[in-house]
Amino acid sequence: MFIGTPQNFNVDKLEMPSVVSRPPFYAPAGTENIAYEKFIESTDEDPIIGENELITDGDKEATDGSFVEFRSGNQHITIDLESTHEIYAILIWHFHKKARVYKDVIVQVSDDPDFIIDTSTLFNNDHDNSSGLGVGEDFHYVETHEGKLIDAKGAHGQYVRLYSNGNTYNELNHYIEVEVYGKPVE
Amino acid sequence: MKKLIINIILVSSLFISFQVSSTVIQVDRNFDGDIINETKQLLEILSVYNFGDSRAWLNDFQDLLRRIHKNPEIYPEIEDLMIEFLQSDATMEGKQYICKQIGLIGSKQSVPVLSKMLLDISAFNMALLALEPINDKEVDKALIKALSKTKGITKTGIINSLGVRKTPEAVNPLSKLIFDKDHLISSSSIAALGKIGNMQASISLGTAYQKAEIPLKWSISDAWLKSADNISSYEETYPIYAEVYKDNPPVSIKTAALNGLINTYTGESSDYLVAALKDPDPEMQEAVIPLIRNLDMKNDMEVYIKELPNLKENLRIQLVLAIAARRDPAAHDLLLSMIKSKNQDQRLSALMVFPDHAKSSDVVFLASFASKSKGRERDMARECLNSMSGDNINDAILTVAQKACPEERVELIRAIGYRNIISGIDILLISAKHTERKVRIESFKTLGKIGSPDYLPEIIELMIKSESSAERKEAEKAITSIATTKDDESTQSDEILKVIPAVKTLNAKISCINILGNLGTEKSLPVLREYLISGEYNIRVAAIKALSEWPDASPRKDLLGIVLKTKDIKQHTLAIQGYVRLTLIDNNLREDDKATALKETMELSENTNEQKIVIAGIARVQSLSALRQVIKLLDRKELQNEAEAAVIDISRKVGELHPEKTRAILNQLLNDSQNPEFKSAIEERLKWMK
Repeated sequence: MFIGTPQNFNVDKLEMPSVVSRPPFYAPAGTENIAYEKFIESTDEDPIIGENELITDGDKEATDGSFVEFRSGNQHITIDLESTHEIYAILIWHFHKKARVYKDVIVQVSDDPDFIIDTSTLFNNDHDNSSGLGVGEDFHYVETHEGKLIDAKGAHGQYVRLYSNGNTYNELNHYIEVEVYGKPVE
Repeated sequence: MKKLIINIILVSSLFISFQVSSTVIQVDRNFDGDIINETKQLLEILSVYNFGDSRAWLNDFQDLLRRIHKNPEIYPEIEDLMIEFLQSDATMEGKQYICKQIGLIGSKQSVPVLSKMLLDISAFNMALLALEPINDKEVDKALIKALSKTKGITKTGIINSLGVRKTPEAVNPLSKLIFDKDHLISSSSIAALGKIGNMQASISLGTAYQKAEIPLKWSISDAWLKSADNISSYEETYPIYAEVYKDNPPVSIKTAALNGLINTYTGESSDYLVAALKDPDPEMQEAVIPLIRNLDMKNDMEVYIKELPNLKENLRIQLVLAIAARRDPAAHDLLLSMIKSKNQDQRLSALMVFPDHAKSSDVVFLASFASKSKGRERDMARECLNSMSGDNINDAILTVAQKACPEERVELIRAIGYRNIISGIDILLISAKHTERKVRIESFKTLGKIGSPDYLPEIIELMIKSESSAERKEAEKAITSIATTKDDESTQSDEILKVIPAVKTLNAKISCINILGNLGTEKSLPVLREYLISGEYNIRVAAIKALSEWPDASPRKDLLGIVLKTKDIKQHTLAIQGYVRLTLIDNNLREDDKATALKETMELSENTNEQKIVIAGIARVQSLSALRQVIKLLDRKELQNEAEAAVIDISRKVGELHPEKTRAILNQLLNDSQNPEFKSAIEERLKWMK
């Protein structure tokens, strides 16, 4: 449920929220949220509200004290999983108390902390290449309490990076929680 | 024929009135400074004013009035002119304006004329507007006299004015109107008596109260209580409050009566308040809380605290908060108990006000609470630690921090930072070596907040010895933050430059390079340039990244050198990224020069990823040559999407600078392109440019 007056989203290629709950996502046995309480680096090193730790603390509520607010412009966060993992799914919660669409959302996985070599781009809805990572084909989507599920299809990597560039309500960037489901690569 | 003549007359009169009402008021600005003459002139203008006409005269009139008010000795003369105006055939609108002014300067001089106007239903309102503020007994006499000659709305207006003026002589005539059949007259008389509020009025109201039935009784009780508020003798007022209170009136009146009781009762006011807390009406119970809160500070809260277990939860919370608002020492334990309750609303309510009551002995509890909570409760517990203002709080935090378990220690270290406890830096330096990673990380964060440059060598040493990248990252931030507090920017990187040659550990060296990049001092450049050609791969990568984030374009050519020489894809891509960024921020380059530089970079790109980075950079250049460059890329399938996006982006900016040429280019593209989405975007752009 959203608070506030519904807004018109002035974005192209928009996928509207589903009226039914998302069906269960299947992953191999032993899969767990490997991002829980992992260290996060962000391009905005001094968030306006909250701290990076909130992004992987298990709290998915859209309440005060549960989200991080970063400055405007293209910002990214990088989660260090501390070793290479096989990743099946990534779930992202930006701010979802009000219905809004976050722009230029890109999700990448890599073993390279600089994301140059052997980098998989799992999701990209940057339609004008403003991030410099290429024009994405994925649709914009409305944030909900369920989070955005990205099928990682077993991508390997130690680092997960998530980009955004403002939203339809304001220019700022927000995260409530990120979950990364996978298993360590043996 | 007769009918025709009448119609002609009617139409003519309408025409004339239209002419008058649409007259543009001309204001003669050649005033000679003589206030009397100016007043006459403006009154003449005002005499034909109707609503909807120009109010051009208003500024001048207000200016005139300001001057009049500075010269009270001419009030009588001005008042004479205004009285004359009221007796003229000036418009009602004009007279209304003048009545308002008479209210400000008038005297008993105006009373006769205004009294006559009281009897005119179309003029009584403006007459009251004038009469009500005039400080003279003649006004009261005139109003009382008019009472018997008027009825309905006019009479009501006069009654109201008598109340506002608190005319004691009006008590008798108004008392006779309490039970008037006209409800408006009855209620306005009651209200006026309440406002007059002298002993006589109070007696009248009291007598009426005894006789009246509900609902009139409650209107009278309200006025009666107001009159009691004006009587200074507690012996005389207490019975009034007691009488009204015992009759159980509506809550608002009962509360007012209760308030009067507790202010006049010579015994224990708590007797009444405690009884009211048990009132069967929940609204009344809630109404009591502010009364308790506002009691004189000498009142002991113990008697109310005893009632807490008997109250419903909602009321219990309100009472505790009311006691807390009084800064009563008893509030501390009550709030603590609420914070420990199972009800989240209670916990949040108590946490909100606890900082004003917390003691040093609460530091342990709050740290523990914060470490175990989430979301808003955690934030509020932290806020308590950050802002509690009792004695010896800082000392308590420092003492407890040294012995606390890791989770609580983290909270206390945060509080040290927020409270800016500089004397805690030694504890932070020790905590930065703690066995628990969370403690170490928090320590570095807090050092970054309150540390001073004197501590830089020690903090750098700690960073060098750190074993995890997370700690080193926090340490880098802390060192950067502290170094930038130095006034002399050129010395900000001195401490790092001093130690870096001796750093042996690769990761620590990289951290030092990162810090040099963050600080961006001129002194660091030669050192970083050396690291660009280091034998160690990761050092070279770190140096490229550090130079890529430089605050100005100084290292631009160094990065271009890397692009030209290196065969390693990672270094190449990082250098391209940095070179594109620095080209865009180079103030020495015009837009066309930037476009040219990036065109050359495109030719040096090794793969589509790098080309996409360069296209994104070209898209930020505001020049036609940039636009032409990306158009050339449209034929390359692997870059088509990015090139199309860049065309739209650049044309948005360039279209304002060179509209004709941009339009021509876009029209050509519209013609040539096979991509419907791209064509649609171009059409949209062209539409905006019209």
